[in-house]
Amino acid sequence: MTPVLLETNERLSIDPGVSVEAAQLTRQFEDATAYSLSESIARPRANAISDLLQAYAKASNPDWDGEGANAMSPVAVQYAAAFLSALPTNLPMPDISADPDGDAYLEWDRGRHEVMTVTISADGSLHYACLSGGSRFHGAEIFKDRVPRLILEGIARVAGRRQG
Amino acid sequence: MSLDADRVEDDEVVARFLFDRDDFVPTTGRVKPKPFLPSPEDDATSVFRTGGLSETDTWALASPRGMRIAKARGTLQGGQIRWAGLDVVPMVPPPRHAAIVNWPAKDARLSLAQRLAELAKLVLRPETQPAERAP
Repeated sequence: MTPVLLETNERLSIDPGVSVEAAQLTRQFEDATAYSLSESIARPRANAISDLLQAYAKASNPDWDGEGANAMSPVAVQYAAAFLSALPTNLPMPDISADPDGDAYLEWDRGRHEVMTVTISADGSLHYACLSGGSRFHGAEIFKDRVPRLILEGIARVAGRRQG
Repeated sequence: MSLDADRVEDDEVVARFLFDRDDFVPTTGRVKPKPFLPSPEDDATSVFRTGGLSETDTWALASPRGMRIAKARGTLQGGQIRWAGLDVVPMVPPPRHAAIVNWPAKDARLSLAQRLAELAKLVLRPETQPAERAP
């Protein structure tokens, strides 16, 4: 891995010392988010993509968790960025990290009994689980430019039911 | 207290040590689902059997895991893990180590991790609490 120092701006930044792949991803996302959306809409999405890049920087090497985790794939990061860009603007952005499989891990957490989780793999597969009140559902789909309906329903359900 | 070498009892407490501040919510006493997901190395989630130990000895169990310091732990009983549809089995070494096993396919495991997080109790490491409150 070759350390690089990236230019930073107000919207996106990433720590120095990240890989060339992360630098390329940053530039792609800069280009993708720099136009067309109003600032109020673009800001949460840009922040989420910044969080995604930070997650990649943290998990881009094997065993990043000290328990044998797989390295996060740059391809999974690209799919995750596309997923975030495809989320309707009326839905909140998730907390973003990597999971032990090296997938992007997106979580909408509104309390002990209100959680929606989506993971995004390097092959474009989406795995999701929703816990909302007493109901649960989970499933798997392939990401094809649009966020699947059941995932949107899960996010909306959890986002609409806040608790401690 | 002697531990059964072959079985984690239903009323026995096991702890999942938490090293990442993002894995728990101190203000509401919650553990997040992600730390319960299994390692891809062995498809198991590492836990420790803490029955009969003092707090000091319990936190010491986490120390051999590299240089990282556990900030908190999520505790469950063996019976809760089995009720969720998984199993927990002794897996030594190290001493008192056990593993949550029988994880299904990925989407179902995400759901089970949510279920374990619902059931888990959060215990903060005492010396980390002042730092958590610092501005």
